[in-house]
Amino acid sequence: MKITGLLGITLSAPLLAGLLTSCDAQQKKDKKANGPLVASAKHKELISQIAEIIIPDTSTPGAKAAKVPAFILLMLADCYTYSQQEAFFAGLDALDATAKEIYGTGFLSCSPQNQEALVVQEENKTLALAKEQAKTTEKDILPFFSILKELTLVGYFTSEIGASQALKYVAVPGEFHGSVPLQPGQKAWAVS
Amino acid sequence: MNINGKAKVQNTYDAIVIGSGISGGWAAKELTEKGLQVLLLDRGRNVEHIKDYTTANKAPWEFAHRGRLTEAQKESHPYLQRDYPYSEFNESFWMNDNENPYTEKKRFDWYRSDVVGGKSLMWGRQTYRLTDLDFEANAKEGIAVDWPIRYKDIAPWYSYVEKFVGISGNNDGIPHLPDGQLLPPMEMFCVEKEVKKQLEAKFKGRHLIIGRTANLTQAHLGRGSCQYRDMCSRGCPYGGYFSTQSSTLPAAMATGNLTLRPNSLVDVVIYDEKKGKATGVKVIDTENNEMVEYYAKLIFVNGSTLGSTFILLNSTSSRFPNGLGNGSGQLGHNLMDHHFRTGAAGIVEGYDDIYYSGRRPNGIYVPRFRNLGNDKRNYIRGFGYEGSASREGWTRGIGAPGVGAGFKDWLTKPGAWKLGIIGYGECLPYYENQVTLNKNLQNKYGQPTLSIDAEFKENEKKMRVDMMNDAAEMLEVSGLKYVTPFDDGCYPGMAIHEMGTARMGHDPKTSVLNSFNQMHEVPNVFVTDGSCMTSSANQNPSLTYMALTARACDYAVKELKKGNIA
Repeated sequence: MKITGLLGITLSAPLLAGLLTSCDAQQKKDKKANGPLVASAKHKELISQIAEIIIPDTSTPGAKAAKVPAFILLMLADCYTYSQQEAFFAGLDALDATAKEIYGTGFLSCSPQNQEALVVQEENKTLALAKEQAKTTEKDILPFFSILKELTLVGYFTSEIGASQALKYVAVPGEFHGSVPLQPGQKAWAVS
Repeated sequence: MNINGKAKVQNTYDAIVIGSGISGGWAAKELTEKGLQVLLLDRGRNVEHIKDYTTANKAPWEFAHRGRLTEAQKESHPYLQRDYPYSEFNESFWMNDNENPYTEKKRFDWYRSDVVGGKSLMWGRQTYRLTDLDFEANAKEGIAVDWPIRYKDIAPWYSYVEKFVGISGNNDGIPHLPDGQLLPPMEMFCVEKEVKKQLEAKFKGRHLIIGRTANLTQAHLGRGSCQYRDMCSRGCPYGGYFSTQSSTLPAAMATGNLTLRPNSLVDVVIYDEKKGKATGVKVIDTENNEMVEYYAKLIFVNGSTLGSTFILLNSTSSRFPNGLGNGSGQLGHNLMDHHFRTGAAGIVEGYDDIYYSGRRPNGIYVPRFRNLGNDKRNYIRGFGYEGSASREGWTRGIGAPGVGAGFKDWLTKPGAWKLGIIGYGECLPYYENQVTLNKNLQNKYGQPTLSIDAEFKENEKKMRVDMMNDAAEMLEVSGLKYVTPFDDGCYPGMAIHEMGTARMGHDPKTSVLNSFNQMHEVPNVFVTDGSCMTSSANQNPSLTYMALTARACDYAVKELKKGNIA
């Protein structure tokens, strides 16, 4: 499915399905099959806050308004192995610990500026790690931030709010035109 | 089971068609329209046109997992979960792998549906004719056996089925990709037009054309035009693409001659040694596990390549200890699939002020150009490319750095124009690529299962080098930037174009079917799905299955009337 993701080809493949499966296709089966982990109240708060930092409320509603945090929790429980979930929540805890180390207080009590700085730092760390791992073998467990960011974007831009307010969604186009002038300020199609 | 006279009469038809997918639907239509009373069997549950397309009108946010599979679905579908076709969008059309296991001596991705209509509901809809370049290749090169037909034999039947199917495309006048009975073509993206111009100017004899797809660009025989939603594989409420449900099944029903029986898993074809003919089928009713027998003068086997092959291998008798009509020993051998997943993609600059509207369920096509004319490669046969332009959307944010208002704003605007092409290569028929019956592993219904042992070999591997490098070269020369060649590897089964395990041929000693898809050794049994293919060519094969089916039905009914097969 890397192909479809790369090319955006929609010959017989829904792009969305392709993108979504590509990320965990490499994940090995979790032999334990322990079922979903239960997120603590603090984990839920952290997920909610970081999702809103990635996609904030601007001229259009943000991640929280689009119910992205609930989507992320559902996806974690249903679509990830137990060990991936464990790693995800451990990653959240580590970020909280980093906040305490740097700012002397947990992530949720940090100022908005410091919260964003922590998230950017986490992303840089994740991207550097991905580069490093790309050189070596396939990895079974993804860093928590790459999952959180992906699920935030997917959850937001495929939500009703994200697809029809931040983007443009047309259920039944009726026609296809391959060459149309782009209007100033025109939003991208929600489904390509 | 002892059937008395009355029940036997009740369970007797003129013809039985096993399987209601793309070729079985055609067999049902043709035979009923010729006046035969037909029983159409499918192992899957019924899916009624429009009514049972339960996800067809859902918006993205109405899918809890936005298309993605859950861990539970991955557990119940260990083979299907390997690639995109099985997803939350249409998961109810697919087979439960765990209830229907098979053995992979080598990796084989087997995509099986479990509904009336079969994979005609989910197919890719690309439709291209084969030509004598394909039909003559085996004989010229001394590969396997000769096709018992040539283009002139099938050409009128291509036209016949195209007129009914409704295929949009352009008659491009390319000798080895013949024109057909086509509806108006879909439009190309602006950047596809540009690349076409560049590519055709710089590479003599190569063509970049709009895909020929079984999607309607205008209303056709009572079906609605494509609405450019690009959600075909969920079933189309407009009948905008060809499927059994939208097209052949209503036509067969309209004759009043059709009986459709879903949930009917055919176990064996019954062979009468005295008559030297098949007399019917044994069916497992999947709802109550009871065995039922049905009888007919004529039997069409259309259970998908490996599904049909399983039934024939499982139909043993003292006359045919190794499977029905398998005196040649070829049944189950010569398994082919196209190899793909290699090509190139790049960025097209200079079109930032141009966008598009609608979601085109179709792409572009580059017909074969290798080993044509004076071109000689270090492999035989060739490949075509499927591809498409696209303009990046929000998904480019995954893996890209950035958070916050500026990042969000960036993702709400269109990104770069891209264009990519993927090769679809011919696979040779190798005797050792085969399926066999495995009696040590049973499915949910107590039947033996298939063991699959197939691989791509040297010819395919050499071809893949060209498939990737030619793609990159053509895109670079045509002006694309940041051209990235790729080869994501390919295993048999992945293209869902499996074929060849009951091949056609001149000689009963080396082939299973004759030139009319009739079993050499069992004259009232016809096999017209992908298993009949003597070579794979590189074109998408469904159109050929449909044309061969219509042709075989015409022949079978004539023979029936002459008293030659019943």
